[in-house]
Amino acid sequence: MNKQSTPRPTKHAHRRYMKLFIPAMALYLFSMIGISIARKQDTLPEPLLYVVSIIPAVFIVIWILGHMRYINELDEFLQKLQIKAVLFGLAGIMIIATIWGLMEELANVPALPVFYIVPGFYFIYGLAYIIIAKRAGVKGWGAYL
Amino acid sequence: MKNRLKVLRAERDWSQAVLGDKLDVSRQTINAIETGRYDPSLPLAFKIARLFERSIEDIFEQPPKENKGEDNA
Repeated sequence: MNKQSTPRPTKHAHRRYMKLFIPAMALYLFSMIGISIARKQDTLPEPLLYVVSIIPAVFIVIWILGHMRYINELDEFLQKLQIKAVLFGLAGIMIIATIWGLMEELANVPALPVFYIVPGFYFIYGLAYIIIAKRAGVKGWGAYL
Repeated sequence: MKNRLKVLRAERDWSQAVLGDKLDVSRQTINAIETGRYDPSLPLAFKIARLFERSIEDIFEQPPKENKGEDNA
């Protein structure tokens, strides 16, 4: 039987994801710092600030798309674990957003920035993945490599 | 679902990683199948059967039929 010399798909997917994730996060941080400095120094006019504010979001979108590609490239078992964790992340953040949104509308609690939705999702997704992977017998860094 | 994957792999002296490479899946997936935590898809089951030159039924044991939900009236 022919032995294929292709790298293990999961490892390959992880490498491709990290190659995208690290530069995207670095550029996100640099752009956030740059925009914050420019805003403090009043070097950018108001209309331009609207446009420039979108720049960090571009890197977040690239990261999310990279994550989708990563899940797509995993084998069927690891893909199932990831999809379960994503569902928990989405359900968790929607529940929190709904509860907080109703409290804002009906009980005058302070408004939270919508910006927190993505980090909130990734926090819940991350926790869910740790639990799901542990229950499925996938331990340590082996879950990712 | 019970299976004979671990036995067949041991007969060939392959590690989980080696078998994973041959099937284009991760070591974790092999481990999950062997321990019965995950039932492979039909294409993967066929791939495993082809690799070991056995039928799917030779490798995977059909779970006993459940009586739950049957009308006893």
